Amino acid sequence: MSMDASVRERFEAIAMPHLDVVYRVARMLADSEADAEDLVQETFIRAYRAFDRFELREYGAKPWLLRILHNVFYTAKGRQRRSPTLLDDVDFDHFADELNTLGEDPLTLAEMDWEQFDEELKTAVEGLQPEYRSVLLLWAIEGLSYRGIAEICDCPIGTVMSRLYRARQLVGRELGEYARERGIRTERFAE
Amino acid sequence: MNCREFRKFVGAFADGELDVTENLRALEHLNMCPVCTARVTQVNRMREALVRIYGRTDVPADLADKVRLALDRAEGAPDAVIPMPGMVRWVRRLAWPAAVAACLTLVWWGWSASAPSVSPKPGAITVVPGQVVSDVRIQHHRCAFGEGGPHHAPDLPRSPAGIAEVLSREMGLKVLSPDFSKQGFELIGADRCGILGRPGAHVMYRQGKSGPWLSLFTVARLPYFNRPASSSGSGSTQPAYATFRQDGVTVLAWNEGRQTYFACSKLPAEQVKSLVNAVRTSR
Repeated sequence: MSMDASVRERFEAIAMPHLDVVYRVARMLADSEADAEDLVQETFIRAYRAFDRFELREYGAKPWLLRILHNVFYTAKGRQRRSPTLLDDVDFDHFADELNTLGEDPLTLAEMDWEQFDEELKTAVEGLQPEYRSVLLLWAIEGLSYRGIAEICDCPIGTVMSRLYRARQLVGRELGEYARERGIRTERFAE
Repeated sequence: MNCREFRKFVGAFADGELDVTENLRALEHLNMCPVCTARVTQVNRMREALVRIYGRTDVPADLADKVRLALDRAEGAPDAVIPMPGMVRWVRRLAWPAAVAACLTLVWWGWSASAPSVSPKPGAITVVPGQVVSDVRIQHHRCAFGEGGPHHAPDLPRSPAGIAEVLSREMGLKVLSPDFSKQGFELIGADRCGILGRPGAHVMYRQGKSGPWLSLFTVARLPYFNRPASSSGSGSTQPAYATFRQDGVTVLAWNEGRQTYFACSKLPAEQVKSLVNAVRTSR
């Protein structure tokens, strides 16, 4: 397959401005900088090959590139993008009941100085399963809507919501434990 | 709306994803409930913290050039190899078991002219002491699995820490050279031994005075041993390995940072894994 110079120029004009975003997301998914670079290069190659089928719309090329990145990541990992998870099969009422037993302390987590827990937060995030981690970081870093995340991850919006909920709860629980270990507890609403 | 209901919506409320009716109901509840208000604050604080940590990721200065180079190559060879510096990436297109099987079976890539000729014998990973090999054929390497005597480069220290320090500095890798004395394994040698086409470090251990060996190799990262680590759901992650057992030898491979590590032994796979896990979790 050979593409003429104008197609290549158009592709670069549309796609290359999003290189930084694609790398940031790749770095969130990958275990290392080297893996992230590999993911980015593979993403742009696949995007280039699919460019003749791409339609530029008002939301630009970023969601398209991130979706390809997502596919590349999970293909490399040998995972199915839509592999059913326990979370997808569990309704929210059941899930909320499960979390009621976790003993979280929202008041402490709301009031404490989060900056002193940056390393712990990073550890907690990197301990998440990739499906949860990617949704959490797409939400936080890229400021994407649930619909935007769903398009990138190629899953229903409900799955995005439940994964995001679960990811935040797991991370919050980890930080709550760190806070308790350090004796941090808010007294403002103590009974 | 009560607290139980609101907990299902706290994230969507904080993210502005509720419709008008649900939003009003949520606001009414929050006016009366400091705990749920704290939940909303928690979500926002978490987002701020994640932006602080991950939002400042530095993008490599040469990444754009690398991408353009990759695109150049893709234009010339769309369906086949996309060669990257130092390595052919055809393995990316194979499922990892097939890639690993290919590496452990007969694939001749070209033999280094300076390497001694060795008769191929199925059953072991190819390593040539003190040499860099460029093929990946199966061949019996005596000292990887304890046949024949150990070899030790005379310029290297004899302590695990000393070996790690010298070879790590020399090779630009994080060389694995742990102290296995608590597990009953004595360090008996270290050398510069290539594996799977890459130069690397080889550290040899023996159980007791005459027991089975354990060989650890450190090379620059290979892409085809990536496996997803399994998460226990509590935030901890179990190490992920590619494990091969063939003709009575165990080979464990895993990636960590910029390195690929191999553990080779005639011990059963679970025992090798247990030894390696003890080292990985303590680092």
